[in-house]
Amino acid sequence: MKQRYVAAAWLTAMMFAGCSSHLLFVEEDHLGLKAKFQPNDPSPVELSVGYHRGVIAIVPQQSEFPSGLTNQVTVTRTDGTNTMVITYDPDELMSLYTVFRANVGWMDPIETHHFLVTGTAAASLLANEDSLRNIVTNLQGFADNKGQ
Amino acid sequence: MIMNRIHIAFLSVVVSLLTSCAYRGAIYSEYSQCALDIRASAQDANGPVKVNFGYDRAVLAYIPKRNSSTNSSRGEAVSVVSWNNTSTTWVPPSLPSAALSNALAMITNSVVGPIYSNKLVKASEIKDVIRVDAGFISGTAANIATVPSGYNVVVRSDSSSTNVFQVTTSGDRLALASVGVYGKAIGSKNVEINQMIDDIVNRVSVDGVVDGMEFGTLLKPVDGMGDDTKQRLVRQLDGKQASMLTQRLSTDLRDYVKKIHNQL
Repeated sequence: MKQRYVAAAWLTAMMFAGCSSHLLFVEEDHLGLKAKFQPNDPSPVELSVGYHRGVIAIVPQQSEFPSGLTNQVTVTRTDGTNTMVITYDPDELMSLYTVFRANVGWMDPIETHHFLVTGTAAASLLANEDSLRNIVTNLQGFADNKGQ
Repeated sequence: MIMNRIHIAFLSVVVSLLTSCAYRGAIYSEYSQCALDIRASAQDANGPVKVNFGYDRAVLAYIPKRNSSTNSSRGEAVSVVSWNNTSTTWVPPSLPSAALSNALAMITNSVVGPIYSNKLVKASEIKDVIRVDAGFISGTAANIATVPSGYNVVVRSDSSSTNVFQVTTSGDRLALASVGVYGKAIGSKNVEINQMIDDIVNRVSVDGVVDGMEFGTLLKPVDGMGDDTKQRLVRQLDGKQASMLTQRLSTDLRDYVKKIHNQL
């Protein structure tokens, strides 16, 4: 809940400032049971069971001033092959790629994974299918999964 | 909670008006909730009683235009990709039968000898309780990740430059980005299933392309899937990149992976 107030505060501040160069992204999840009693107090004042997540991202555009670039993406077709040419656009947001995965099994260990990459590294990683596959095989998080 | 959202939405409208709506980008808000939310405060009566039961979600995105100098009717939003898949099995379906089998095995084997010889059900045979898969991609990286499957990608450092930043092979990047990363590292069962997916893909692909006839042969004896569906799948995947088959087997065909693997 606090996160929502924080988000609302950011939103208000950014709108008042006429800010049109930053992305604000807020996400909040919750899965099972929250509690908070008080009057005459039959115990829990806050209790939370199972999965909670919160994200706030503020991502600026690459350039402070508009570049006027209009065609960031063009498609060409040669010899039956479609090629998409993507040009770095200063009006675009800075690149950010993040993944969060969690797995809670019944009588299995709890496993969480988080991966974050930004900037050119993010762009080049996503551009290259083989690089993504290398992430799959080489960035194994747990000892008993290594080499699989 | 709903009231809070109404207040926040109302506040946003007021702020928009006060700022003469100088902001020309998009604002996206989402909220979902399922099941039981009790909260009391008939003008307080000494404070909070808040209970909340099961799934609650909120998203807020404030998305600027690529070029803020264009007027409100023109100009595309900057690029963002976001996903969140949450699934849960409140009581794993195999748990009651597993508990019963285990109890029978233990009781009969210990009291009257090994009559009920059913081996103990392994934890790995019981379904996951909670799975979360979420991610976020922004900017040029998002543009690149969403290039359609089968397209080559060329990334240039700027519009006038002939310097090619990178040229890559074609493939379904978004599927890999959202499903593939760490897919093999989560849970022993998933390692097993991903290995099966690799086996299937290796069997039916030639030079990185799906051989529809071979895939059709594997699909044919699989039960629980109609013939029309099988034929449609073969038509969809024949001649496509093997990564597309990997993606389908990892997502909507995941329940059939074991059955297909049994045909190898």
